[in-house]
Amino acid sequence: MKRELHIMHSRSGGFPARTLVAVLALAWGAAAVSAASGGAPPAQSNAASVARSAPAADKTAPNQAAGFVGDDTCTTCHESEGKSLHQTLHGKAQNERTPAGKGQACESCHGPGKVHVDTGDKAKIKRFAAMSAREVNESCLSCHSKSSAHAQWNGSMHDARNVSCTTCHSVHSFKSATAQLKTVGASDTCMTCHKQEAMKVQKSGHMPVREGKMECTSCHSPHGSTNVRMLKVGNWINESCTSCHAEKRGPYLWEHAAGRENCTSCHDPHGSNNDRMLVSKVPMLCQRCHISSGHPPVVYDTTQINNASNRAVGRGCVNCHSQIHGSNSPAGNRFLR
Amino acid sequence: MRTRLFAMVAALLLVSAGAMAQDNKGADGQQDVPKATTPSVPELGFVNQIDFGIRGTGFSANSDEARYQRFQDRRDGATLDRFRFTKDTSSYVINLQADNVGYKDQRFSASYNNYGKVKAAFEWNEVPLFYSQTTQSLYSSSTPGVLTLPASIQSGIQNKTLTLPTAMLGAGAFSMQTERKVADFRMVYSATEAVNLNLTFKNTQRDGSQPYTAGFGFSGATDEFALPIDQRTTEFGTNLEYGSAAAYLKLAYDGSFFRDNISTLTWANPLRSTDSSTAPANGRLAMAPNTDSNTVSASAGLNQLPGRSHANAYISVGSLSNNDPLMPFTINSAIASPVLSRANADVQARVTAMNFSFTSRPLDPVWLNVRYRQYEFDNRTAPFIVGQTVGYDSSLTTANTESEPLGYTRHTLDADVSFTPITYLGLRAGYTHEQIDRTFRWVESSKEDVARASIDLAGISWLSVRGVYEYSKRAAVTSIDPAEILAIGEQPTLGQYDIAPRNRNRFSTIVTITPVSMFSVNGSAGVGRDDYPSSYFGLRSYDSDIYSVGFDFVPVENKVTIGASYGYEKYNGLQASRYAAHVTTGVPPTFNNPLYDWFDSNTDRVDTINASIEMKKIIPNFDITVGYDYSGGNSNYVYTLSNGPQTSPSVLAAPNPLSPVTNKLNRGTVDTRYFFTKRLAIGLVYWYDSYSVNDFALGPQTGGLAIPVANPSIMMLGYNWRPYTANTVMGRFTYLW
Repeated sequence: MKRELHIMHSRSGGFPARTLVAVLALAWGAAAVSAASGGAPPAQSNAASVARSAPAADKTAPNQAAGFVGDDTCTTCHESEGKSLHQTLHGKAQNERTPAGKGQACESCHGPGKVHVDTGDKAKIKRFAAMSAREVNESCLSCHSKSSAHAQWNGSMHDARNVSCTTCHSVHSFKSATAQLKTVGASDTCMTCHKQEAMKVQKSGHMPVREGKMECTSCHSPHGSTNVRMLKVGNWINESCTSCHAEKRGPYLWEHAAGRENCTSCHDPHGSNNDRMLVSKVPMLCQRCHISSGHPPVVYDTTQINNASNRAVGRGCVNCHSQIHGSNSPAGNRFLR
Repeated sequence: MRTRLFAMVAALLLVSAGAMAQDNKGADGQQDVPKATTPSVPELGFVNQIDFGIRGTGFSANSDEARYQRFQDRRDGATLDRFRFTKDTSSYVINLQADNVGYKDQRFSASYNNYGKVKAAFEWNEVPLFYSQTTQSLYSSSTPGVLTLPASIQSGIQNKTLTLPTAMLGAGAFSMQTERKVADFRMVYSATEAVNLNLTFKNTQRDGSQPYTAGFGFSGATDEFALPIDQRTTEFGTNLEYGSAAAYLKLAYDGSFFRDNISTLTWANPLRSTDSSTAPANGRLAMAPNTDSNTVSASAGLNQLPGRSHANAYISVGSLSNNDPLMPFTINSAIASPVLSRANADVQARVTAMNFSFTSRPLDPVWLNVRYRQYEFDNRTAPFIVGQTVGYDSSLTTANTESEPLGYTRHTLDADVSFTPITYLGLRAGYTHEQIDRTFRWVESSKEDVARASIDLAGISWLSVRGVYEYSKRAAVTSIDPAEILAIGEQPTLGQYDIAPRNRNRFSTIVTITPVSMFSVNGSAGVGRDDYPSSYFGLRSYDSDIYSVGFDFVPVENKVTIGASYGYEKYNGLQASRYAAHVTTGVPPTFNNPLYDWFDSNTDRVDTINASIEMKKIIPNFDITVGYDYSGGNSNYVYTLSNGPQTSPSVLAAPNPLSPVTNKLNRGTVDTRYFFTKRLAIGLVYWYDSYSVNDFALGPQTGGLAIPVANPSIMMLGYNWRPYTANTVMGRFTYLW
């Protein structure tokens, strides 16, 4: 009864049969090329290809014919995995995009299990732990590339660095409340590798990551993006920053060139020892580019500060150049106000 | 040396990886992230939870209570700090959440997912930013955007019967904070298996006040005041996407509209009550302008090309605009404000972005990627002509200048090839060429070539190694004539570090060893060297050295977890300048004299420690988690006069050294919970949080400077960096169902 329901949902999806045949042919073709190249063991490659074609097989022929044994057979031995799967979105049969919705909750990912069941050989089934990162990713992306959320994975920095989906996610054994991550929080996952950034977010000048009001994924898309640095929003660093700090977006009548080009010229978004997450303290930061114009290039030592120089105390240069991000004041060409 | 080191590391890794590849039994899981064994949510079979209790904090004397609560609200009182409710059926799931209810960092969310049909989620999130609870000011405001002073103070100071420090004795204390209130709605409607319609709507209200400074010129006052904030950003987005195994297509619109409800700020001059041609009674500044952003984009991808290839294309075209009315040059009635060359800002930019990528895996061990990216900020604003201007509302001067509508275009080509000789090993080589064309900058066109190589051994159970080396060289293609730089009184050999020619070497690696499944140790290193070979003045070099070590120990699966890490960071920047007294016309006498050179070496060192122990039910019915986090920073700014090529001694006075800038953040937590039954628990949470700081410019601290709230011409808020020590205790009940 359950399986009939799955099949009914699949049929109601309206996915063109001709497209499926074409997809199937392409998948087989690619697998054949792969196998001929001497790459992964043929059994695995074939399993992957058949797994991709599972929906078609489900609709056109009995599962047994394609070597599928069905979830009930799998969970006879793998009971806990079966239970955990059905607690997740993968196991929601109503969604025809899910493995359960395809009628093969287990074998959509692990491939046909008949040989594995018949022989008891655990090498005769797709085991993600034994696969290369890209093989894992190809398997996951056979479904997850259908939306823009993962569309930029291919060629992303994580893809280039041999990171696999299962590096961060677990289908059966996860700790997070969402996204099936191996750690409780998304930032915990990121900080497993990104140690430098993990240290920076704890500095005295930081965004509210330490306080739990932001996560790494507030700004970054770990699955790739059209922006640089895997930033989630916009097409350049500044567009990401100003998606929250819109008051600094401009455009302005008078633009601060360094800021217009890149917020990170002056700020370290992961945190710093300085006020406002600046990469250095003012006025020294400003003096990295401005040494003469308007002001004498002065050594701002203790003597200067004891004179309560308004270029050094408090917020330094921006005491007067308070519109440093840009100004709409007609008299604001020096970002005074 | 570096090359040799890299080669040795790579060789070592290849050997170990090869050895591992022989033993497939070790392949029990990806090792990068410690393996989880059970989902945390259904830990006790319950997915719903409510935590409520009471909380109180004790501070040591003179603690900065606002800084303790920088991005959070930890006031004393009753708490409902966590609520989770989920109703999951075979066809839909409803999820409700609430955190810190009733406080300024509260968050609520609700989501509904009718599997495969509709997903909708709403979140209300408040993020406070507490600046100070002890700030002082003489200003008051009865009209938004207008800060006034008692007339008696202005006139008293103007008539010299009162001084600003004396007046400040009567300043009232107030709390300064801003708060973001974010309402975020998202919906996905799945029309068919392949078609999604997405809608997003987000509204961010930001209000409160923040510290700000504005001045009345060299001979006038510099005033810190609480800048009123009342801003709203409304974002709307929609996109239609089609996705199949073979291809996807997405068409999208995104709009963002920023509105500042306070367009200008007028504040009273503490030194004058009446306007004169050299000093005003009031100053006025332009607040952040209202801006509109509209973007349409299209993206498409093909996923099943021959050779396991994928092709993606993305194009977006957007407009950014700001057309606020311009305020007059001055509010000073004693100065005839020059005529504006136009009444409105009329600032417009066209932003075009495109991104094309092709990825292929023609053979199992070979992966290729080529990506071209272009980003153009085309500033279409007509120059704003300024004949005469008024500086600080105080002086009418001839400017004869015009605005410079800065724009730039970035072209970036990336090419990478990766080779996977054995299952878990990836070797990558890559190259990037970037060209940036700019208007109105010293370097009008620059190019950067980047070569990189990386090694990634991941997936085997006992060893994970990731490392990358990158060398890049940025060069100027075209720069403006040095004579033009001289003409504006700047040194032609000054390098603006964001665009100046630069050689960069960077290497980073992280190694994790897991000799037994219950224990792992990790270490990371990152070394960076930036040199600016053509910059005599400005930033000359910037180096970074970052190391960390840590371990994770799980002696009893699902019950005991212990972890600790230590991180060391050191950054060093060297910059150069030359003292040359400002002159009204011509070149200052010392402009070309290297005996006036000075150098500033900035060293930033940070130590970071994290440690935690988590024990669940080791003692029957009792959970405890203990955590400790430490971040200690130490920044030095050391001036020298003899770091240049000159042979004669410097003629500048020996600099008076600055005190190191130090700060230390300590946070310790103990979180206990005793379960009376499977559903009901009582808990006690203790937070220890302390911050110490020594900052020469943002004192007052021991060893720092005693900056008065007011000196004869500078009026400050008293918003300084101040330490705190806080001890917070919270008792709470937890109910699960």
